[in-house]
Amino acid sequence: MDRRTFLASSLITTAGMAAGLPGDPVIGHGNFKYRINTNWCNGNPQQYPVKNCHEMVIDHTGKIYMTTDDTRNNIVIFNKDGKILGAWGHEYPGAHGLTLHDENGEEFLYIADYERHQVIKTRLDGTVVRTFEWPADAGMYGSQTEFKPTETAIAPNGDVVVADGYGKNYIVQYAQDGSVKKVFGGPEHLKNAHGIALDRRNKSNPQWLVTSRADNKLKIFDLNGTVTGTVDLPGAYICRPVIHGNEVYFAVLISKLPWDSQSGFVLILNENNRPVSAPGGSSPIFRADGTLEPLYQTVQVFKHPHDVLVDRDGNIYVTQWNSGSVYPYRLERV
Amino acid sequence: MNHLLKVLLVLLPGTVVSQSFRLAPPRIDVESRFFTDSVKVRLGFEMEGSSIFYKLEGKNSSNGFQHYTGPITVKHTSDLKAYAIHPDFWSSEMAEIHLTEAGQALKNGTLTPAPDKQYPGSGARTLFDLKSGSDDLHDGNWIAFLGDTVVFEAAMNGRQKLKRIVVSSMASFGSWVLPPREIYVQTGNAKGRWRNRAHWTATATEMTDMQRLQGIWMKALKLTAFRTDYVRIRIVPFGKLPEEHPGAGRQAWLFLDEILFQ
Repeated sequence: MDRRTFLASSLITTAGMAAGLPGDPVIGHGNFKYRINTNWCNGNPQQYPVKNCHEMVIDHTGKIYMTTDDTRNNIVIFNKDGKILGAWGHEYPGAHGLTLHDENGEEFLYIADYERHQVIKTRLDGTVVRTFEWPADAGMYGSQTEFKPTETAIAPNGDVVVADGYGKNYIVQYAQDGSVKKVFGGPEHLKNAHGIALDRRNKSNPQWLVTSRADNKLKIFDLNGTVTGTVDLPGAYICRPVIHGNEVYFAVLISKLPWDSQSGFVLILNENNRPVSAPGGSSPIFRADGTLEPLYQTVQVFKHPHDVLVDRDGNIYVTQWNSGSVYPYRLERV
Repeated sequence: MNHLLKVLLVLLPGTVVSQSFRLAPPRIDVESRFFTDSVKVRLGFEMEGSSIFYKLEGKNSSNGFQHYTGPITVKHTSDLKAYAIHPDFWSSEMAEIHLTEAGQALKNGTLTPAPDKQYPGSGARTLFDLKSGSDDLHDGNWIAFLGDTVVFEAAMNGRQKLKRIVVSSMASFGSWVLPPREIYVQTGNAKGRWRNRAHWTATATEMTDMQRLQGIWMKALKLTAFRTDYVRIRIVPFGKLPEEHPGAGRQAWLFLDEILFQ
Protein backbone atom coordinates (compact mmCIF):
# COMPACT_ATOMS: atom_id res chain seq x y z
CA MET A 1 0.00 0.00 0.00
CA ASP A 2 1.53 3.32 -1.00
CA ARG A 3 1.37 6.37 1.22
CA ARG A 4 -1.50 8.03 -0.65
CA THR A 5 -3.70 4.92 -0.52
CA PHE A 6 -2.86 4.41 3.15
CA LEU A 7 -3.83 7.98 3.97
CA ALA A 8 -7.07 7.69 2.04
CA SER A 9 -7.94 4.38 3.71
CA SER A 10 -7.20 5.80 7.13
CA LEU A 11 -9.33 8.83 6.40
CA ILE A 12 -12.24 6.69 5.33
CA THR A 13 -12.04 4.56 8.48
CA THR A 14 -11.73 7.56 10.75
CA ALA A 15 -14.36 9.58 8.97
CA GLY A 16 -16.67 6.61 8.79
CA MET A 17 -16.48 6.15 12.54
CA ALA A 18 -16.76 9.84 13.31
CA ALA A 19 -19.51 10.74 10.92
CA GLY A 20 -21.39 7.45 11.07
CA LEU A 21 -21.09 6.71 7.35
CA PRO A 22 -23.73 4.20 6.31
CA GLY A 23 -22.69 0.74 5.19
CA ASP A 24 -23.44 -1.12 1.98
CA PRO A 25 -27.15 -0.59 1.42
CA VAL A 26 -29.27 -3.54 0.38
CA ILE A 27 -33.03 -3.23 -0.04
CA GLY A 28 -35.78 -5.81 -0.35
CA HIS A 29 -36.94 -8.77 1.66
CA GLY A 30 -36.65 -12.56 1.80
CA ASN A 31 -35.19 -14.03 -1.36
CA PHE A 32 -35.59 -10.77 -3.27
CA LYS A 33 -32.88 -8.39 -2.08
CA TYR A 34 -30.96 -5.92 -4.21
CA ARG A 35 -28.03 -3.52 -4.31
CA ILE A 36 -28.91 -0.14 -5.75
CA ASN A 37 -27.21 1.19 -8.87
CA THR A 38 -28.41 4.68 -9.75
CA ASN A 39 -25.57 5.04 -12.26
CA TRP A 40 -26.52 2.13 -14.46
CA CYS A 41 -26.88 4.46 -17.43
CA ASN A 42 -24.32 7.21 -17.87
CA GLY A 43 -25.81 8.50 -21.10
CA ASN A 44 -25.48 12.10 -22.20
CA PRO A 45 -28.76 13.94 -21.48
CA GLN A 46 -27.86 16.55 -24.10
CA GLN A 47 -27.73 13.84 -26.76
CA TYR A 48 -30.53 11.64 -25.39
CA PRO A 49 -32.85 13.86 -23.33
CA VAL A 50 -35.65 12.33 -21.28
CA LYS A 51 -38.54 13.85 -19.32
CA ASN A 52 -40.79 11.26 -17.76
CA CYS A 53 -39.44 7.75 -18.29
CA HIS A 54 -42.49 5.54 -18.59
CA GLU A 55 -41.97 1.91 -19.57
CA MET A 56 -39.32 -0.56 -20.73
CA VAL A 57 -39.22 -3.82 -22.66
CA ILE A 58 -36.36 -6.08 -23.77
CA ASP A 59 -36.07 -7.78 -27.16
CA HIS A 60 -34.62 -11.22 -27.92
CA THR A 61 -31.16 -9.76 -28.54
CA GLY A 62 -31.06 -8.07 -25.13
CA LYS A 63 -31.72 -4.52 -26.33
CA ILE A 64 -33.86 -2.53 -23.92
CA TYR A 65 -36.45 -0.07 -25.31
CA MET A 66 -37.91 2.71 -23.20
CA THR A 67 -40.71 5.23 -23.76
CA THR A 68 -40.28 8.84 -22.68
CA ASP A 69 -42.58 11.76 -23.43
CA ASP A 70 -39.62 13.86 -24.60
CA THR A 71 -40.42 14.22 -28.31
CA ARG A 72 -36.75 14.73 -29.13
CA ASN A 73 -36.46 10.94 -28.77
CA ASN A 74 -39.58 9.07 -27.67
CA ILE A 75 -37.92 5.67 -27.73
CA VAL A 76 -34.46 5.31 -26.19
CA ILE A 77 -32.56 2.04 -26.69
CA PHE A 78 -30.02 0.68 -24.15
CA ASN A 79 -27.90 -2.41 -23.79
CA LYS A 80 -27.92 -4.27 -20.48
CA ASP A 81 -24.84 -2.39 -19.32
CA GLY A 82 -26.69 0.90 -19.56
CA LYS A 83 -25.02 2.16 -22.71
CA ILE A 84 -27.43 4.06 -24.97
CA LEU A 85 -27.40 2.47 -28.40
CA GLY A 86 -29.70 4.89 -30.16
CA ALA A 87 -33.13 6.49 -30.17
CA TRP A 88 -36.05 7.30 -32.44
CA GLY A 89 -39.47 8.89 -32.43
CA HIS A 90 -40.59 12.53 -32.30
CA GLU A 91 -44.32 12.20 -32.78
CA TYR A 92 -45.47 10.61 -29.52
CA PRO A 93 -46.12 13.41 -26.99
CA GLY A 94 -47.90 11.02 -24.63
CA ALA A 95 -45.61 8.00 -25.17
CA HIS A 96 -46.50 5.86 -22.16
CA GLY A 97 -47.18 2.12 -22.35
CA LEU A 98 -44.67 -0.05 -24.18
CA THR A 99 -45.28 -3.69 -25.00
CA LEU A 100 -43.18 -6.01 -27.13
CA HIS A 101 -44.69 -8.94 -28.96
CA ASP A 102 -43.23 -11.58 -31.25
CA GLU A 103 -45.43 -12.17 -34.29
CA ASN A 104 -44.40 -14.76 -36.84
CA GLY A 105 -40.71 -14.34 -36.04
CA GLU A 106 -40.67 -10.56 -35.91
CA GLU A 107 -40.88 -8.46 -32.76
CA PHE A 108 -43.18 -5.42 -32.73
CA LEU A 109 -43.69 -2.58 -30.27
CA TYR A 110 -47.06 -1.26 -29.12
CA ILE A 111 -46.88 2.34 -27.90
CA ALA A 112 -49.86 3.55 -25.87
CA ASP A 113 -50.00 7.34 -26.34
CA TYR A 114 -52.58 9.03 -24.12
CA GLU A 115 -52.05 12.41 -25.82
CA ARG A 116 -52.71 11.01 -29.29
CA HIS A 117 -55.55 8.84 -27.91
CA GLN A 118 -54.17 5.91 -29.84
CA VAL A 119 -52.04 2.81 -29.63
CA ILE A 120 -49.39 2.69 -32.31
CA LYS A 121 -47.86 -0.59 -33.49
CA THR A 122 -44.33 -0.22 -34.87
CA ARG A 123 -41.38 -2.27 -35.95
CA LEU A 124 -38.32 -2.12 -33.71
CA ASP A 125 -36.82 0.56 -35.97
CA GLY A 126 -39.88 2.78 -35.50
CA THR A 127 -41.68 2.08 -38.76
CA VAL A 128 -45.41 2.40 -38.08
CA VAL A 129 -47.42 -0.71 -38.91
CA ARG A 130 -50.90 0.24 -37.66
CA THR A 131 -52.79 2.43 -35.21
CA PHE A 132 -55.59 1.37 -32.88
CA GLU A 133 -58.22 4.11 -32.51
CA TRP A 134 -60.75 5.05 -29.85
CA PRO A 135 -63.80 2.77 -29.69
CA ALA A 136 -66.20 5.26 -31.25
CA ASP A 137 -69.07 2.81 -31.70
CA ALA A 138 -68.82 1.04 -28.36
CA GLY A 139 -71.22 3.44 -26.66
CA MET A 140 -69.01 4.37 -23.71
CA TYR A 141 -67.18 7.25 -25.33
CA GLY A 142 -68.50 10.55 -26.64
CA SER A 143 -65.28 11.75 -28.25
CA GLN A 144 -61.75 10.69 -29.06
CA THR A 145 -60.28 12.81 -26.28
CA GLU A 146 -62.03 10.71 -23.61
CA PHE A 147 -59.84 7.78 -24.60
CA LYS A 148 -56.39 8.00 -22.95
CA PRO A 149 -54.69 4.62 -23.26
CA THR A 150 -51.82 3.77 -20.93
CA GLU A 151 -51.01 0.12 -21.63
CA THR A 152 -51.35 -2.72 -24.12
CA ALA A 153 -51.23 -6.49 -23.81
CA ILE A 154 -51.63 -9.19 -26.41
CA ALA A 155 -54.26 -11.92 -25.98
CA PRO A 156 -53.48 -15.60 -26.65
CA ASN A 157 -55.29 -15.30 -30.00
CA GLY A 158 -53.27 -12.22 -31.01
CA ASP A 159 -55.94 -9.65 -30.16
CA VAL A 160 -54.65 -6.30 -28.91
CA VAL A 161 -56.03 -5.42 -25.48
CA VAL A 162 -55.71 -1.82 -24.32
CA ALA A 163 -56.17 -0.31 -20.85
CA ASP A 164 -57.68 3.18 -20.88
CA GLY A 165 -55.95 4.11 -17.64
CA TYR A 166 -56.11 7.91 -17.90
CA GLY A 167 -59.50 7.92 -19.57
CA LYS A 168 -62.65 6.00 -18.64
CA ASN A 169 -61.03 2.86 -17.22
CA TYR A 170 -62.35 0.47 -19.82
CA ILE A 171 -60.35 -2.35 -21.33
CA VAL A 172 -60.77 -2.40 -25.11
CA GLN A 173 -60.07 -5.56 -27.10
CA TYR A 174 -59.20 -5.13 -30.78
CA ALA A 175 -58.61 -7.56 -33.61
CA GLN A 176 -55.23 -7.16 -35.27
CA ASP A 177 -56.92 -5.22 -38.08
CA GLY A 178 -57.85 -2.50 -35.58
CA SER A 179 -61.56 -3.32 -35.28
CA VAL A 180 -63.05 -3.27 -31.79
CA LYS A 181 -64.23 -6.69 -30.62
CA LYS A 182 -65.12 -6.13 -27.00
CA VAL A 183 -65.04 -3.60 -24.17
CA PHE A 184 -64.91 -4.68 -20.50
CA GLY A 185 -63.80 -3.41 -17.09
CA GLY A 186 -64.82 0.21 -16.68
CA PRO A 187 -65.27 2.50 -13.68
CA GLU A 188 -67.42 -0.05 -11.87
CA HIS A 189 -64.37 -2.28 -11.48
CA LEU A 190 -61.31 -0.12 -12.07
CA LYS A 191 -59.99 3.19 -10.84
CA ASN A 192 -57.00 4.36 -12.87
CA ALA A 193 -56.64 1.15 -14.92
CA HIS A 194 -53.01 1.91 -15.55
CA GLY A 195 -51.52 -1.41 -16.62
CA ILE A 196 -52.49 -4.80 -18.00
CA ALA A 197 -50.66 -8.09 -18.52
CA LEU A 198 -51.60 -11.56 -19.71
CA ASP A 199 -50.95 -13.99 -16.86
CA ARG A 200 -49.99 -17.40 -18.22
CA ARG A 201 -48.54 -18.77 -14.99
CA ASN A 202 -51.45 -21.19 -14.84
CA LYS A 203 -51.20 -22.52 -18.39
CA SER A 204 -54.65 -24.07 -18.30
CA ASN A 205 -56.28 -20.83 -17.23
CA PRO A 206 -54.66 -17.69 -18.65
CA GLN A 207 -56.18 -14.48 -17.30
CA TRP A 208 -55.76 -10.72 -17.33
CA LEU A 209 -54.05 -8.88 -14.51
CA VAL A 210 -55.12 -5.22 -14.46
CA THR A 211 -53.86 -2.61 -12.02
CA SER A 212 -56.50 -0.44 -10.43
CA ARG A 213 -53.83 1.98 -9.32
CA ALA A 214 -55.79 4.61 -7.42
CA ASP A 215 -57.58 1.79 -5.55
CA ASN A 216 -54.32 0.05 -4.58
CA LYS A 217 -55.71 -3.16 -6.06
CA LEU A 218 -54.76 -5.73 -8.64
CA LYS A 219 -57.86 -6.94 -10.47
CA ILE A 220 -58.04 -10.32 -12.15
CA PHE A 221 -60.29 -10.85 -15.18
CA ASP A 222 -60.91 -14.03 -17.15
CA LEU A 223 -60.42 -13.85 -20.89
CA ASN A 224 -64.13 -13.11 -21.31
CA GLY A 225 -63.70 -9.91 -19.34
CA THR A 226 -65.36 -11.06 -16.10
CA VAL A 227 -63.77 -10.12 -12.81
CA THR A 228 -62.63 -13.26 -11.00
CA GLY A 229 -60.48 -11.88 -8.20
CA THR A 230 -59.01 -8.89 -6.41
CA VAL A 231 -55.67 -8.56 -4.62
CA ASP A 232 -55.68 -5.77 -2.04
CA LEU A 233 -52.35 -3.98 -1.83
CA PRO A 234 -52.97 -1.05 0.56
CA GLY A 235 -50.45 1.73 0.20
CA ALA A 236 -49.25 0.47 -3.18
CA TYR A 237 -50.19 2.61 -6.21
CA ILE A 238 -49.13 -0.11 -8.62
CA CYS A 239 -48.38 0.93 -12.21
CA ARG A 240 -48.36 -2.19 -14.39
CA PRO A 241 -48.00 -5.89 -13.67
CA VAL A 242 -44.78 -7.40 -15.04
CA ILE A 243 -44.70 -11.18 -14.88
CA HIS A 244 -41.28 -12.81 -14.66
CA GLY A 245 -41.04 -16.46 -13.72
CA ASN A 246 -43.58 -17.18 -11.00
CA GLU A 247 -43.55 -13.65 -9.65
CA VAL A 248 -45.36 -10.41 -10.53
CA TYR A 249 -43.31 -7.22 -10.24
CA PHE A 250 -44.62 -3.67 -10.00
CA ALA A 251 -43.28 -0.18 -9.83
CA VAL A 252 -45.24 1.48 -7.04
CA LEU A 253 -45.57 5.12 -8.08
CA ILE A 254 -46.38 6.40 -4.60
CA SER A 255 -47.45 5.00 -1.26
CA LYS A 256 -49.45 8.00 -0.14
CA LEU A 257 -51.21 10.93 -1.72
CA PRO A 258 -50.68 13.46 -3.20
CA TRP A 259 -49.53 12.09 -6.51
CA ASP A 260 -46.21 13.93 -6.29
CA SER A 261 -45.38 12.67 -2.78
CA GLN A 262 -42.10 10.99 -3.88
CA SER A 263 -42.98 7.92 -1.84
CA GLY A 264 -42.54 5.09 -4.34
CA PHE A 265 -40.84 1.70 -4.23
CA VAL A 266 -40.91 -1.67 -6.01
CA LEU A 267 -43.22 -4.55 -5.09
CA ILE A 268 -42.95 -8.28 -5.79
CA LEU A 269 -45.78 -10.82 -5.44
CA ASN A 270 -45.23 -14.59 -5.38
CA GLU A 271 -47.06 -17.22 -7.41
CA ASN A 272 -50.09 -16.81 -5.14
CA ASN A 273 -50.13 -13.04 -5.69
CA ARG A 274 -48.97 -12.52 -2.11
CA PRO A 275 -46.40 -9.76 -1.45
CA VAL A 276 -42.96 -11.20 -0.62
CA SER A 277 -40.65 -8.22 -1.05
CA ALA A 278 -40.87 -4.46 -1.39
CA PRO A 279 -37.45 -3.03 -2.30
CA GLY A 280 -37.39 0.51 -0.94
CA GLY A 281 -40.62 -0.16 0.95
CA SER A 282 -41.73 -1.63 4.25
CA SER A 283 -41.65 -5.37 4.97
CA PRO A 284 -44.94 -6.94 3.90
CA ILE A 285 -46.75 -7.73 7.17
CA PHE A 286 -49.97 -9.71 7.32
CA ARG A 287 -52.57 -9.34 10.03
CA ALA A 288 -54.14 -12.33 11.78
CA ASP A 289 -57.06 -12.21 9.34
CA GLY A 290 -54.66 -12.51 6.39
CA THR A 291 -55.01 -8.92 5.19
CA LEU A 292 -51.94 -6.88 4.40
CA GLU A 293 -50.82 -3.96 6.58
CA PRO A 294 -50.48 -0.80 4.44
CA LEU A 295 -47.14 -0.64 2.64
CA TYR A 296 -45.04 2.52 2.64
CA GLN A 297 -41.66 3.80 1.53
CA THR A 298 -38.79 3.19 3.97
CA VAL A 299 -35.73 4.13 1.89
CA GLN A 300 -35.67 7.17 -0.39
CA VAL A 301 -34.13 5.43 -3.39
CA PHE A 302 -36.92 6.34 -5.77
CA LYS A 303 -39.25 9.28 -6.14
CA HIS A 304 -41.94 8.01 -8.51
CA PRO A 305 -41.12 4.59 -9.99
CA HIS A 306 -43.25 3.99 -13.05
CA ASP A 307 -42.23 0.64 -14.51
CA VAL A 308 -39.95 -2.31 -13.96
CA LEU A 309 -38.14 -4.66 -16.32
CA VAL A 310 -36.61 -7.88 -14.99
CA ASP A 311 -33.67 -9.49 -16.80
CA ARG A 312 -32.61 -13.14 -16.86
CA ASP A 313 -30.36 -12.65 -13.83
CA GLY A 314 -33.22 -11.23 -11.79
CA ASN A 315 -31.96 -7.65 -11.87
CA ILE A 316 -34.68 -5.03 -11.98
CA TYR A 317 -34.53 -1.90 -14.15
CA VAL A 318 -36.73 0.91 -12.86
CA THR A 319 -38.03 3.88 -14.84
CA GLN A 320 -39.39 6.93 -13.06
CA TRP A 321 -42.02 9.58 -13.71
CA ASN A 322 -41.53 13.15 -12.50
CA SER A 323 -38.20 12.41 -10.86
CA GLY A 324 -35.80 14.97 -12.27
CA SER A 325 -35.45 13.44 -15.76
CA VAL A 326 -33.22 10.63 -14.51
CA TYR A 327 -32.33 7.61 -16.60
CA PRO A 328 -33.47 4.24 -15.24
CA TYR A 329 -31.87 2.77 -12.11
CA ARG A 330 -30.87 -0.89 -11.78
CA LEU A 331 -31.51 -3.01 -8.72
CA GLU A 332 -28.86 -5.76 -8.76
CA ARG A 333 -30.01 -8.96 -7.14
CA VAL A 334 -27.86 -10.27 -4.28
CA MET B 1 -21.73 17.85 7.10
CA ASN B 2 -21.87 14.11 6.50
CA HIS B 3 -22.72 14.63 2.85
CA LEU B 4 -19.86 17.09 2.35
CA LEU B 5 -17.43 14.68 3.98
CA LYS B 6 -18.65 11.94 1.74
CA VAL B 7 -18.22 13.94 -1.42
CA LEU B 8 -14.65 14.70 -0.40
CA LEU B 9 -13.95 11.02 0.22
CA VAL B 10 -15.31 10.01 -3.17
CA LEU B 11 -12.99 12.51 -4.79
CA LEU B 12 -9.89 11.13 -3.10
CA PRO B 13 -7.90 8.86 -5.43
CA GLY B 14 -8.01 5.17 -4.65
CA THR B 15 -11.08 5.40 -2.46
CA VAL B 16 -14.51 3.92 -2.98
CA VAL B 17 -17.50 4.78 -0.91
CA SER B 18 -20.70 2.97 -1.75
CA GLN B 19 -23.81 4.99 -2.57
CA SER B 20 -26.00 5.66 0.38
CA PHE B 21 -29.58 6.75 0.81
CA ARG B 22 -31.76 8.44 3.34
CA LEU B 23 -34.50 6.62 5.17
CA ALA B 24 -38.06 7.85 4.69
CA PRO B 25 -39.72 9.33 7.78
CA PRO B 26 -41.51 6.81 10.01
CA ARG B 27 -45.25 6.33 9.67
CA ILE B 28 -47.52 7.98 12.21
CA ASP B 29 -50.75 6.13 12.80
CA VAL B 30 -53.44 7.95 14.78
CA GLU B 31 -57.23 7.71 14.68
CA SER B 32 -57.62 11.49 14.56
CA ARG B 33 -55.51 14.61 15.07
CA PHE B 34 -58.33 15.93 17.28
CA PHE B 35 -59.25 14.44 20.66
CA THR B 36 -61.19 15.19 23.81
CA ASP B 37 -59.45 13.23 26.64
CA SER B 38 -56.48 11.48 25.06
CA VAL B 39 -55.29 9.93 21.83
CA LYS B 40 -53.13 6.88 21.17
CA VAL B 41 -50.34 7.22 18.61
CA ARG B 42 -48.55 4.33 16.93
CA LEU B 43 -45.29 4.81 15.03
CA GLY B 44 -44.27 2.40 12.29
CA PHE B 45 -41.11 1.60 10.35
CA GLU B 46 -41.15 -2.00 9.20
CA MET B 47 -37.52 -2.47 8.25
CA GLU B 48 -35.15 -5.00 9.76
CA GLY B 49 -32.40 -3.38 11.84
CA SER B 50 -34.13 0.00 12.15
CA SER B 51 -35.21 1.95 15.25
CA ILE B 52 -37.54 4.90 15.83
CA PHE B 53 -36.97 7.83 18.18
CA TYR B 54 -39.67 10.33 19.13
CA LYS B 55 -40.28 13.48 21.14
CA LEU B 56 -43.40 15.29 22.38
CA GLU B 57 -43.44 19.09 22.45
CA GLY B 58 -46.15 20.98 24.26
CA LYS B 59 -47.61 20.77 27.75
CA ASN B 60 -45.86 17.87 29.55
CA SER B 61 -43.12 17.67 26.90
CA SER B 62 -40.74 14.72 27.02
CA ASN B 63 -37.05 15.38 27.63
CA GLY B 64 -35.20 14.81 24.38
CA PHE B 65 -35.86 11.95 21.99
CA GLN B 66 -36.89 8.59 23.35
CA HIS B 67 -36.60 5.14 21.81
CA TYR B 68 -40.04 4.09 20.58
CA THR B 69 -41.14 0.74 21.97
CA GLY B 70 -44.92 0.91 21.74
CA PRO B 71 -48.03 3.09 21.42
CA ILE B 72 -47.85 6.56 23.01
CA THR B 73 -50.81 8.10 24.84
CA VAL B 74 -51.05 11.87 24.36
CA LYS B 75 -53.32 13.84 26.74
CA HIS B 76 -52.61 17.46 25.81
CA THR B 77 -52.20 19.50 22.65
CA SER B 78 -48.73 18.52 21.42
CA ASP B 79 -46.38 18.28 18.47
CA LEU B 80 -45.05 14.77 18.05
CA LYS B 81 -41.79 14.40 16.14
CA ALA B 82 -40.18 11.10 15.16
CA TYR B 83 -37.32 9.84 13.01
CA ALA B 84 -35.91 6.46 11.98
CA ILE B 85 -32.34 5.16 11.98
CA HIS B 86 -30.58 2.17 10.39
CA PRO B 87 -26.85 1.47 10.29
CA ASP B 88 -26.73 1.20 6.49
CA PHE B 89 -28.66 4.38 5.67
CA TRP B 90 -28.74 8.05 6.54
CA SER B 91 -31.25 8.84 9.28
CA SER B 92 -34.68 9.92 8.13
CA GLU B 93 -36.05 13.39 8.16
CA MET B 94 -38.54 14.15 10.90
CA ALA B 95 -42.12 12.97 10.72
CA GLU B 96 -44.36 15.40 12.56
CA ILE B 97 -47.97 15.62 13.62
CA HIS B 98 -49.85 18.27 15.57
CA LEU B 99 -52.39 16.74 17.98
CA THR B 100 -55.06 19.12 19.22
CA GLU B 101 -57.44 18.98 22.17
CA ALA B 102 -60.90 19.66 20.80
CA GLY B 103 -62.46 21.60 23.67
CA GLN B 104 -66.18 22.37 23.55
CA ALA B 105 -68.71 20.14 21.88
CA LEU B 106 -71.29 21.59 19.51
CA LYS B 107 -74.95 20.71 19.41
CA ASN B 108 -75.42 21.33 15.73
CA GLY B 109 -74.23 23.49 12.87
CA THR B 110 -75.25 24.75 9.46
CA LEU B 111 -73.15 25.43 6.41
CA THR B 112 -73.62 27.89 3.55
CA PRO B 113 -73.13 27.06 0.75
CA ALA B 114 -73.25 23.25 0.67
CA PRO B 115 -69.90 21.61 -0.13
CA ASP B 116 -69.03 20.72 -3.71
CA LYS B 117 -70.66 17.46 -4.85
CA GLN B 118 -67.26 15.81 -5.34
CA TYR B 119 -66.31 16.33 -1.70
CA PRO B 120 -69.53 16.31 0.34
CA GLY B 121 -68.12 14.72 3.51
CA SER B 122 -70.95 14.58 6.05
CA GLY B 123 -72.00 18.15 5.35
CA ALA B 124 -71.78 20.64 8.23
CA ARG B 125 -71.21 17.82 10.73
CA THR B 126 -67.79 17.18 9.12
CA LEU B 127 -66.58 20.37 10.78
CA PHE B 128 -67.25 19.19 14.35
CA ASP B 129 -67.12 15.38 14.20
CA LEU B 130 -63.51 15.23 15.52
CA LYS B 131 -62.46 13.13 12.52
CA SER B 132 -59.34 14.51 10.87
CA GLY B 133 -58.84 14.39 7.13
CA SER B 134 -55.96 12.38 5.69
CA ASP B 135 -53.74 12.92 2.64
CA ASP B 136 -56.54 11.37 0.63
CA LEU B 137 -58.88 14.25 -0.13
CA HIS B 138 -61.63 11.75 -0.96
CA ASP B 139 -61.52 10.04 2.44
CA GLY B 140 -64.90 11.49 3.45
CA ASN B 141 -63.45 13.60 6.25
CA TRP B 142 -62.96 16.64 4.05
CA ILE B 143 -65.49 19.04 2.59
CA ALA B 144 -64.45 21.32 -0.26
CA PHE B 145 -65.53 24.56 -1.89
CA LEU B 146 -64.57 26.21 -5.13
CA GLY B 147 -64.45 29.97 -4.89
CA ASP B 148 -67.27 30.48 -2.37
CA THR B 149 -66.94 32.16 1.02
CA VAL B 150 -68.03 29.56 3.57
CA VAL B 151 -70.26 30.45 6.52
CA PHE B 152 -70.58 27.99 9.39
CA GLU B 153 -73.05 28.75 12.14
CA ALA B 154 -73.08 26.61 15.26
CA ALA B 155 -75.17 26.29 18.38
CA MET B 156 -73.02 25.55 21.41
CA ASN B 157 -73.94 22.68 23.67
CA GLY B 158 -75.28 25.05 26.33
CA ARG B 159 -73.79 28.46 27.04
CA GLN B 160 -70.04 27.97 26.67
CA LYS B 161 -66.93 29.94 27.47
CA LEU B 162 -64.75 30.30 24.36
CA LYS B 163 -61.07 31.25 24.33
CA ARG B 164 -59.92 30.13 20.94
CA ILE B 165 -61.17 28.90 17.59
CA VAL B 166 -59.02 26.71 15.36
CA VAL B 167 -59.68 26.16 11.65
CA SER B 168 -58.08 23.12 10.03
CA SER B 169 -57.52 23.14 6.28
CA MET B 170 -55.26 21.62 3.60
CA ALA B 171 -52.46 23.04 1.45
CA SER B 172 -51.50 21.24 -1.76
CA PHE B 173 -50.45 23.71 -4.43
CA GLY B 174 -49.97 21.00 -7.07
CA SER B 175 -53.52 19.80 -6.47
CA TRP B 176 -54.98 23.34 -6.72
CA VAL B 177 -55.79 23.28 -3.00
CA LEU B 178 -54.92 26.27 -0.79
CA PRO B 179 -55.90 27.44 2.70
CA PRO B 180 -58.19 30.41 3.32
CA ARG B 181 -57.04 34.01 3.16
CA GLU B 182 -59.44 35.44 5.79
CA ILE B 183 -61.39 34.19 8.80
CA TYR B 184 -64.06 36.11 10.73
CA VAL B 185 -65.54 35.03 14.07
CA GLN B 186 -68.85 36.37 15.40
CA THR B 187 -70.90 35.37 18.42
CA GLY B 188 -74.64 35.66 18.71
CA ASN B 189 -77.68 35.16 20.81
CA ALA B 190 -81.10 33.63 20.33
CA LYS B 191 -82.43 36.95 19.01
CA GLY B 192 -80.13 36.75 16.02
CA ARG B 193 -77.84 39.58 17.06
CA TRP B 194 -74.26 38.99 15.98
CA ARG B 195 -71.13 40.66 17.28
CA ASN B 196 -67.63 40.64 15.71
CA ARG B 197 -65.11 38.89 17.98
CA ALA B 198 -62.04 38.13 15.91
CA HIS B 199 -60.68 38.56 12.41
CA TRP B 200 -57.58 37.27 10.67
CA THR B 201 -56.25 38.20 7.23
CA ALA B 202 -53.26 36.45 5.69
CA THR B 203 -50.19 38.61 5.16
CA ALA B 204 -48.33 38.53 1.84
CA THR B 205 -45.71 36.29 3.48
CA GLU B 206 -48.38 33.92 4.77
CA MET B 207 -49.94 33.76 1.32
CA THR B 208 -46.55 32.79 -0.13
CA ASP B 209 -45.95 30.21 2.60
CA MET B 210 -49.32 28.60 1.89
CA GLN B 211 -48.18 27.94 -1.68
CA ARG B 212 -45.06 26.15 -0.43
CA LEU B 213 -46.74 24.10 2.28
CA GLN B 214 -47.78 20.54 1.52
CA GLY B 215 -50.15 19.14 4.10
CA ILE B 216 -52.30 20.22 7.01
CA TRP B 217 -52.72 23.95 7.63
CA MET B 218 -54.21 25.20 10.90
CA LYS B 219 -55.04 28.69 12.13
CA ALA B 220 -55.90 29.55 15.72
CA LEU B 221 -57.80 32.77 16.47
CA LYS B 222 -57.53 33.85 20.10
CA LEU B 223 -60.61 35.39 21.65
CA THR B 224 -61.13 37.36 24.79
CA ALA B 225 -62.77 34.70 26.95
CA PHE B 226 -66.55 35.06 27.00
CA ARG B 227 -69.66 32.94 27.18
CA THR B 228 -71.93 32.46 24.19
CA ASP B 229 -74.71 30.33 22.75
CA TYR B 230 -73.98 30.74 19.06
CA VAL B 231 -70.91 31.18 16.90
CA ARG B 232 -70.61 32.15 13.25
CA ILE B 233 -67.35 31.54 11.34
CA ARG B 234 -66.88 33.09 7.92
CA ILE B 235 -64.02 31.63 5.89
CA VAL B 236 -62.83 33.40 2.75
CA PRO B 237 -61.01 31.16 0.27
CA PHE B 238 -57.55 31.83 -1.16
CA GLY B 239 -59.06 33.03 -4.43
CA LYS B 240 -57.45 32.81 -7.84
CA LEU B 241 -54.39 30.66 -8.38
CA PRO B 242 -51.26 32.75 -8.90
CA GLU B 243 -49.42 33.35 -12.16
CA GLU B 244 -46.84 30.60 -11.72
CA HIS B 245 -49.52 27.93 -11.32
CA PRO B 246 -50.64 25.83 -14.35
CA GLY B 247 -54.21 26.84 -13.49
CA ALA B 248 -53.37 30.53 -13.06
CA GLY B 249 -56.44 32.74 -12.87
CA ARG B 250 -58.80 29.92 -11.86
CA GLN B 251 -60.14 29.50 -8.33
CA ALA B 252 -58.18 27.47 -5.78
CA TRP B 253 -60.07 24.78 -3.86
CA LEU B 254 -60.73 25.27 -0.16
CA PHE B 255 -60.70 22.06 1.89
CA LEU B 256 -61.85 22.00 5.52
CA ASP B 257 -61.95 19.07 7.92
CA GLU B 258 -62.60 20.63 11.33
CA ILE B 259 -63.28 23.76 13.33
CA LEU B 260 -62.34 23.45 17.01
CA PHE B 261 -63.97 25.51 19.77
CA GLN B 262 -61.67 25.69 22.77
